[in-house]
Amino acid sequence: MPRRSHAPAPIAAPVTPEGTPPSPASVVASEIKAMLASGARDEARERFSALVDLLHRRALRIAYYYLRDADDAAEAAQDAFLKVFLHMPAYSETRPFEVWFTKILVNGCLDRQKSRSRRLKWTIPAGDASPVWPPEPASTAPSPEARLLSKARAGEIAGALAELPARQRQVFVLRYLDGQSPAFVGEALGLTEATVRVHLFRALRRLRGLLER
Amino acid sequence: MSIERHLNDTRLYALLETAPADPHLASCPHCQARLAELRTFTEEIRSGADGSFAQVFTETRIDASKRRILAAIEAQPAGQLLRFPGAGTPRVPSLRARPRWMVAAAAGLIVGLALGRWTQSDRPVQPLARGIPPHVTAQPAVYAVSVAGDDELLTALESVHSGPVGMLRAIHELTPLSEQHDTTW
Ligand SMILES: [Zn+2]
Repeated sequence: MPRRSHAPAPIAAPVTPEGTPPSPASVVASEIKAMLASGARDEARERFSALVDLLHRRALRIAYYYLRDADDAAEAAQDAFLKVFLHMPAYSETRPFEVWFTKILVNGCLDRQKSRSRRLKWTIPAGDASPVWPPEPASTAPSPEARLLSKARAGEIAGALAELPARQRQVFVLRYLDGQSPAFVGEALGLTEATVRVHLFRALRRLRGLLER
Repeated sequence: MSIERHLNDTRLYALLETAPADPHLASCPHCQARLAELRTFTEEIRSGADGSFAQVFTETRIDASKRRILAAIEAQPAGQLLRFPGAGTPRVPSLRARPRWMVAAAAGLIVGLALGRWTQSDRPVQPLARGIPPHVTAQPAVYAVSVAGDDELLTALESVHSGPVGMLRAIHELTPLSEQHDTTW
């Protein structure tokens, strides 16, 4: 199944059996961890931008599918990156970094869902506290007709996803929207693969009921 | 499986996840069409979700979000690195929360037994702990049986969770939760 044929290529590696090369993000994370251990904090900060490059878009997507709010999603992604930066000594290089990151991101989204009104826990630098989003260049906007059409269906789909019970939605987002393996999803969410599959089937069945006319 | 008997939905969803090497599927155009339709459906959901993301997160916004993250990292004081509780302890991937239910179920049974004997010693013997549906004891099987069985058992399990099991819940709440929002391995 060409799951990500017209989507950005997945960055995250599957849960790799021993002996397979670590993912790019795992390599960078290990470097950062070593830098921090040796006291090279500034270098570690600088290197962290490579990790953000690798995972940022994916983090935004996952957070957005969960939270359905651009500001909440951006804050959740920022929270997750800050948490992994501050807790990097806890990262175990024997596992793909993406799994650890996803777990932290998803937990953050759950917390955020529980209290939508909570303000950003990690302070934004004062110099960057200006309007949330910069103005869009007019040329990047789709035509009003195309926007209306796709918006309607996208809205239906987003609405149906929002109706899924939390666990089904988490599993569905990671498996079908983020394109991760059931093993990855299971490890990130603390579920067995069999349970991941059960949640997937239920999510699909429910979505079909909601979206098929 | 005979050609007359089509694949049920659970099996069809399972085939979506695995390589379609099902003998019935190989010889049944109807089920092949159903599987293809299911694939198309998941593709539609994904492209709809992608579209909704792209409408909101334009490249300009994605760049702005990234700059903000990097600025926030830059603003973190050096040397203030934290450890998650239990950092370095390998995380057991099995479902530790489930045994808590089993412990709670066992405790509930014991309490129910004690209460039953105490309050009903002169009455005919009643089923123990009426509040505990029989599927509670079937929970461990959820992780050992096939996918089709999982589905039914999960349904049963969910009905237990939403059912009148106040005593079990109370015991459950008292059980220390070792990995709530676990961020360790
Ligand atoms: Zn058939």
